[in-house]
Amino acid sequence: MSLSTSFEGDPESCWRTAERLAGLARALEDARGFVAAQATSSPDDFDGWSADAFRLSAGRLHGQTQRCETACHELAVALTAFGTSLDTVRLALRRTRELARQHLVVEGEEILRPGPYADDGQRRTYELVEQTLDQARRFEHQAHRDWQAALAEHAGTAAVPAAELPGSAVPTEPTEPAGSAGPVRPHVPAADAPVRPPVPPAGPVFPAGPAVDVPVGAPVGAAGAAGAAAAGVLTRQPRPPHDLDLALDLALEAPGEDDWAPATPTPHALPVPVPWEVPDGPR
Amino acid sequence: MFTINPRALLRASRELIRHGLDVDDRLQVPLPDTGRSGCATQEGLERVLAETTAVADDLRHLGDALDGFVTTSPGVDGGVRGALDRLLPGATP
Repeated sequence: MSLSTSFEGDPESCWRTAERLAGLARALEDARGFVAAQATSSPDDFDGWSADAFRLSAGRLHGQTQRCETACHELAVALTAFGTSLDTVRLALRRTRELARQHLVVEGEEILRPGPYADDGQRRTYELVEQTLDQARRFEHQAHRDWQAALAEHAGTAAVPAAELPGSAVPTEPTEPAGSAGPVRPHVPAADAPVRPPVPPAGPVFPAGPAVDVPVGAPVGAAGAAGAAAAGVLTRQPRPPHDLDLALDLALEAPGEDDWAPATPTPHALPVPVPWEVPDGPR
Repeated sequence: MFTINPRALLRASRELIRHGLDVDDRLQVPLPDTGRSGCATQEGLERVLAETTAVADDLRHLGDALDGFVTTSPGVDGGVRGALDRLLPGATP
């Protein structure tokens, strides 16, 4: 049995599309304001049957424009959040893979389970990797649900039942808060299975923070924040659930395999004892 | 009889056309790679963009209709039936 760290999606393309949608929403907002003024224009400039017909058409067009503006704006906000969530999952998977590569066997995007002669450090590393991947997959699943719900609400797509949503095989029981002593292990097959001892968190505790302002159509990085500040468009985004915090911390604390960083040990790296004397027996 | 300010209405018609073209220019929205939500994303964006395209067309058509009305109104009396038909909701140019 192995753990997959494969990733689907492109957060950058989500942000680009969200930015275009936000620009379209601004154009529609300008048009809506003008059409609204025409629908209630003064009869001093235009009066009679034709004027009434014109105002009626302008009023109808105002409603259509407002619907499109709302849809584009809301989809831009949702797509920005979705891209940010995908980026978080991607970073978490990358960091997890990097951690596993230091202590375990990694074939491509698959992390192999340690064999029967693995030491305790390797087993603990595997458990930590398994927990982190489970949280990342849950967060990814929730991001897809939120995005499809936004599509159903604002674009009129069919609401997808929960059973058909991607990643629905992941159990939905609530996880314990971050920092608790015993993390939930959703893949335990039976109740009579041996209970594993709780694994202490390898990293710092991630308390839930306040909601953050995220610019529409821009990533949440430094460059994205600067661009969004220039655009002057901010929207309130709900604080993601606590399971993101673990993934975020894992993603942000340790340098990635593709990032430039000095060669320092990662905070999540567990000490692996090096046997100086090889015991008897096959290894 | 009717009241008309040709200068104001011509300006309004140009603004309507300009807003329609502005919306039309921003309709080139690339399809993002949303992974397993790709089909729903494509369907949703196509729906929204189709409706927005219709709005942009209506903006330009209403501007054209207003421009046509202002152009023809000096030569007719208060009936202006042809231009009135063009300005009615749902009228096609």
